[in-house]
Amino acid sequence: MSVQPKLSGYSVRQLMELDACTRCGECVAWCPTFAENRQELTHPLGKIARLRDWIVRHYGLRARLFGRRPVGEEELAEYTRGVYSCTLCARCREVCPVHIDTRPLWIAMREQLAELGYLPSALSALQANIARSYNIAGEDNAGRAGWSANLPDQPARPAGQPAGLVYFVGCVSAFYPQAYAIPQSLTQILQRLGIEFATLAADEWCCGFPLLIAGLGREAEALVRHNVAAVRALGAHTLVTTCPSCLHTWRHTYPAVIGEPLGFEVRHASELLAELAEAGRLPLGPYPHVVTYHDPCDLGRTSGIYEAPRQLLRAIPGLELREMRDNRQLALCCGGGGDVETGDPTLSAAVARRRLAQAAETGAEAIVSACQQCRRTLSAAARREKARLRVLDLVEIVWQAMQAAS
Amino acid sequence: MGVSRLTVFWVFHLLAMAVLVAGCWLRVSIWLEGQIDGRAPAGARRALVASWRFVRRVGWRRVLRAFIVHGLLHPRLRAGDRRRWQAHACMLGGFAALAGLSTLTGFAQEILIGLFRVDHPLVRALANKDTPLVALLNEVLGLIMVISLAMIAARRYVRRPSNLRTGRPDTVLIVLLAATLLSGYPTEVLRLLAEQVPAEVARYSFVGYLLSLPLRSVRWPWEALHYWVFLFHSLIASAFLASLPFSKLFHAAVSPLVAAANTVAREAEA
Repeated sequence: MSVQPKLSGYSVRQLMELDACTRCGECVAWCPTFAENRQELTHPLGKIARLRDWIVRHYGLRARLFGRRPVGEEELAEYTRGVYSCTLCARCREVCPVHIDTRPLWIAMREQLAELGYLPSALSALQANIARSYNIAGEDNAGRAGWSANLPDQPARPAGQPAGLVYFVGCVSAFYPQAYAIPQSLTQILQRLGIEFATLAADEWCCGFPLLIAGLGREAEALVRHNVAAVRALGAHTLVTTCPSCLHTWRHTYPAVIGEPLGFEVRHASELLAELAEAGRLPLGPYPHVVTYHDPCDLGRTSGIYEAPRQLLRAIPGLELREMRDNRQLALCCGGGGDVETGDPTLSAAVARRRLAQAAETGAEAIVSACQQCRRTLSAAARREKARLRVLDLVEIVWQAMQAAS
Repeated sequence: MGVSRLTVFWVFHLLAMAVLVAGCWLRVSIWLEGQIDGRAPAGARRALVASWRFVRRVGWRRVLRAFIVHGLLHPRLRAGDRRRWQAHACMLGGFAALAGLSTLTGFAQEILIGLFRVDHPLVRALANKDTPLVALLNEVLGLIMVISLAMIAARRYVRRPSNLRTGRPDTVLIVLLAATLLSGYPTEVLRLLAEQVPAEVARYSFVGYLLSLPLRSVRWPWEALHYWVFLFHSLIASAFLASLPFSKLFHAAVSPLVAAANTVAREAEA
C-alpha cells in the first residue's frame, strides 16, 4: 500500500521550512528524547528528512517522470514512532540557525498521521476518555472539584457563581492527587488576599491541549467552544491558570478556533502573583531554602514567560535561587510534554531523570516549577531515583512563604 | 576544436539554467500545494498576496532587517560555533560575489560588447579577465571559497561532531563543489600560458600565475589543453548550478526567507 503525503495538511511556510533545513544537526544536540532513545527518527532532523523524502517520492522530479515510489507500512510506522516520541518542547526551535518554527510542524505531522489512521493506541484511549468524560483521566467530570474537599476553608464563592476572576484548574490538578497541592495553594493564596474568584467546577472541560498536540485538533473544537461559553457566562474579566499548557491553548488556540478575541484576559498564576508581589500586596515570610527553577516548555518557550516566576521567587525572603545549566530558552524538558508520558512512559521518565540530575548539580534542596505536569513527572522521577530533592510548584512555595509571614 | 569553447559553454550553460529554473519551479510548486489561512492549495497568486500583506502588516524595514540579520548573518550559528559560522559565511559570501562577478563579466562580454558593440573603457575592463581588479577579485573570492570548503570538509570528515549527520548527498555536494572550485586553477594556469599573458598583467591572478611559472618554459600545446580543461571546469560549474534545486544547497535560497519570516512573525507575536 502506498500512502500519499497530503501537502494540504501543511502551510506553505511549513513546506518551505522542509527545504530550509540545512541538515546541520544543531537540533540533534538539543533534542531531549533523542538523548535518551538514540533513535534517528526521533530528532528533528530525522523527522524533517523522512517527511521530505516521503514528499519527494510522491512529488519530486523522478516521481513526476517515472512514477511514485511507495512508502511502506513499516517505514510509516517507524516515522510515526519518531513523530510521537517528541515532547514538543520546542528547544529545537530555539537553536535552529534558520529559525524553523518546529513545534507547529511536528503537530502538523501528527495531524496527518492521525488522519491516515496512525494515531498511537494510547492516544486513542486518551481521545476516548476526553470524548466520554471531558477530562484526560476518564473519570466522572462531576468530581472535578475533588481537590478542594480537604481545604480548611472551602472557596468563599461557590464554584460556578459569577465572578470577575475565573480559575481554570486543568485536568491534571483536578484528577491527579499528586498535583492537588497546586489548586489548593492558589485557592488559599487568593482567599488570604481577599480576591474573589470562581472555578467552573464540573462545567470545566479539558482545554483540548492533549488532543491538539496529538494531531486531533478538530476533536478539540467542541471543548474550546464549551469552555469559552462557560467562562463568558460568569462575566469574567480575567482567567487564571496554573497549567502552562492550558494557558497556551487559551491564549493562542482559542481565539483562532472561535474566530474572535476571547473578551477577557488570560494569565498564568505566576504573572498574577508576581504583579501582586511587586505591588507589595503579597505578604511573604521567610523561606530559607536553596531552590532551582525549572522553566515549563509551555510557559517559557511557547508563551514567553521566563521572568515572572523568577521575580516571584526572588521576592521571597531567605530563598536562594540557583539556575540550572540549561535554563530559560534552552531549559531541558521534564519529559511530560507532547503526550509522551501517555504513549511512552519509559522515555518520559528518562528525560525527567536527566532534568532531575541537572537540578541536583545546583545543590538545591528543591526544584520548583510552575506546571502541574512538570511537577507530576519530576516528582515521579524523584521518587524512583530516591533523589534528595523536593519537587514543588511555584504556588506551593508562595503559599508556604505567606504562611510563614503570618 | 572545430567548435568554439564559448559556444559549447553557452549551449550547456543555457541548458543548465533551464534545468535550474525548472527545478526551482518544481520545488515552489510543492510549496504552493500547502495551505494559507486554512485553505489549500494556496496557489501562486494567494501566496503572493499573503506575502505582500504580511510585509505590509509588519513593515518592510523589519522584514529587511530580519532578512539581513537572521537570514544572511546567522547570529545563532555564530553563537554556537564561531569557526563553522566563518566557513559558512565565506562560502555563502564567496559564492554570491563570484557568481555576481561572473555574471557581470559574461554580460559585458556577450551582451554589451558581443551584441550591442558597446565600446566603453569600463565595459572593456569588466569584460577582460586580466583587468587587475577583476583578476584579483576572481582569485581572492575563489581562494576564500576553497578555504571555506576545506573547513567544511574537515568538520564533516575529520572533526565529525556527534550531532552532524553526513550522508551521500553531502559527500556528492562537497565533491562537486571541490571539483568546480579546484578545476578553476588549472583552467586559469592554462589560459595564462595559452594566451601568453605578460607577467605584469598575469600576477594579479596570483595563484594561477604562481602555478604557471614553472611551466612557462615548457612547450606544450597549451591552447588545446586549455580548451578541454576550460570545458571541464565550465561544464561542471554549470552542472553544479543545475543541481542546486535538487540538492540540499537549495536551502541557501529558502532559509533566508524562512528565517526572516519566522523571526518577524515571532517578534510580532511577542
